[in-house]
Amino acid sequence: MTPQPGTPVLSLRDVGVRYRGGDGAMVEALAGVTLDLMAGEMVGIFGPSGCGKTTLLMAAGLLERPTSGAVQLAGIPAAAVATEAALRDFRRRHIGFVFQKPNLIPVLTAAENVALAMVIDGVPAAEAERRAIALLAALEAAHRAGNRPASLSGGEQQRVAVARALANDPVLVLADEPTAALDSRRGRQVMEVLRSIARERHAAVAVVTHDPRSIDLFDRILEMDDGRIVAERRPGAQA
Amino acid sequence: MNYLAWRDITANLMRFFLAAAGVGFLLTGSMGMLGLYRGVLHDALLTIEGIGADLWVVQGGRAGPFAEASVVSATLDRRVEGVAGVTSARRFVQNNLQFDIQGKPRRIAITGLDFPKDQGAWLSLAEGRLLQSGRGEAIADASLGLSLGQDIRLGRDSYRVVGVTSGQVDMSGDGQLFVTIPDAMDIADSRTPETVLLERAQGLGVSADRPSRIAAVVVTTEAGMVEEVARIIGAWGDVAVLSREDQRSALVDGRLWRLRMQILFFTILLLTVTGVVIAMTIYTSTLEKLHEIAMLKLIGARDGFILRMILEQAVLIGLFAYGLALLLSTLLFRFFPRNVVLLAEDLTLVFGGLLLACVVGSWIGIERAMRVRAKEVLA
Ligand SMILES: Nc1ncnc2c1ncn2[C@@H]1O[C@H](COP(=O)(O)OP(=O)(O)OP(=O)(O)O)[C@@H](O)[C@H]1O
Ligand SMILES: [Mg+2]
Repeated sequence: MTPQPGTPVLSLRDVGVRYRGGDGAMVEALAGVTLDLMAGEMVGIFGPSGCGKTTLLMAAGLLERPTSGAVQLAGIPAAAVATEAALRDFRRRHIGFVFQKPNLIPVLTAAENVALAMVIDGVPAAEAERRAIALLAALEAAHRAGNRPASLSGGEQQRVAVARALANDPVLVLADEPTAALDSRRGRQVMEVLRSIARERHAAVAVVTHDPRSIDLFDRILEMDDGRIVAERRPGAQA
Repeated sequence: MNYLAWRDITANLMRFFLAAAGVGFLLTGSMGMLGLYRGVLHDALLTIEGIGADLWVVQGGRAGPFAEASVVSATLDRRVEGVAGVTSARRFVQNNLQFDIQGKPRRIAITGLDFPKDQGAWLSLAEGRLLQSGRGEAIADASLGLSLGQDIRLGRDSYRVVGVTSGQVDMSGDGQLFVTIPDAMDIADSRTPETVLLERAQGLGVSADRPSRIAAVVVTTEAGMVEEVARIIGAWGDVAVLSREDQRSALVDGRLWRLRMQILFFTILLLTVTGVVIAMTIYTSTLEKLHEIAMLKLIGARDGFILRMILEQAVLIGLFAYGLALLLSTLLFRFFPRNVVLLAEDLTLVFGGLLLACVVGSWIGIERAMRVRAKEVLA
């Protein structure tokens, strides 16, 4: 599905997530977040360590069921997706994830890692491989398609991970510190790739980062603290 | 097959081969066990099936001469011959004795053939000929290490090997040596000169005075007369009558059932160890992959996909091991001291047990994999 730019892909309404901490006390990791992510926009999420950024991505990515509030993705309330299996199917079709570590499967080649996400979705292996190579080509990593992750550089690995996130044409891409392990040049490249996903595929892209150098690439920047969104800026508007 | 499972194996070939080799040797053991039982059964039934008896007349109240001892008068065959419907009655005697052959002690199953009625035509000869003389000739099984034309001293007399069979052994695996009934009785009755002197001194008389004894009489009947003949002879009271089927079951359900149970237990034990080896291999390889499994769940892999990936590896170890076991069995079993018979149905049984061991063995690995949650990737 290709959503129209500017229409909401993800809506969080007063979403709260509470964890039971090690001492038995409840930790309020997310304290009522309301947020809309639009198709075609790239949003940066900043904030101090422990403020709830990863928890926000988990709630948005349907990995964590919120303790309170409502999550709606592609027009469907997450609460209506009842079982873990159905949730996984939903995730596979609509969401792509990128993390600080590429988390590639070491025994598979770059192309196979990307193809796997499609094979899981029922695409025949040969067709999946063909599409995986095309995706890698779009990310300028096609020349490493036949290599295992161990022989790729950190930046190359991360681009393969991005290709895998895009394998099933998601409407929402969630990235948690995708450039933290990369030098600034390679980090910038990955950020640009994510931005082009928003622009060209009209996906909503949310990136958690500590890296202030890529601020100019975001359409919107959210500042978080203590489980809440405390500020929202539009860098383009300031410039 | 899911290429992830395949790649995982090729990336850890050593583990795969070690597990497959271990399981393969265990399966070879299972096949050997079952094959040994089948071999013992085959050997035990060889004479019963081969000699061509419709009925066996044995000592009263006994199920001899194989399942238990049986002694009847050496003239019983003449009484039996007189019964209407009997077409032939042959005397049968078999004794397991130990003699030196080429300086080595060997157990021999000395079997009497009722010459000239029976020259050993029911034996399949590998070399030589049947018995042609009432005295001094023998047909020997190749397993005894005797060759054609060789003379062998058994008791007081010497016998010439005129024919050689192959695979003709008794239930305990002793090679059979066929001589005429009088020769068989002489060999069994061989006493040292001192014994003879002592017996004379005690007034027990010389051997010629003793009543001759044989083990059983082998009877063939006219078609359809088996039951009638059995009924008539059974009514005498001093002897018992066994059909060929009775002989089989006396051995299979009587003498061999403990062995069968034992072998069944061993086979189950080996298959259990097989399951444990598979479980260990699959469990450790699953533990190493928990992070990847979380990642697979995160990108939306269904439980079935992950389950299949693990199960496929287990089954592949099993299949490889089974192939290895088949290979080892066909190469090695022929050198075993006892006859090992591999039956298709037993191989199928082992295969079924193996598949079960694969499924049960991979269960704890699968169970662990199912408990992994997608969000653990972010942990
Ligand atoms: N599974 C959990 N159990 C208990 N507490 C948790 C759990 N996950 C997170 N927390 C707590 O929730 C709060 C928010 O955590 P979160 O990981 O979202 O922070 P973050 O903003 O991503 O931090 P960082 O920048 O260090 O990655 C923290 O106080 C953390 O200790
Ligand atoms: Mg975090």
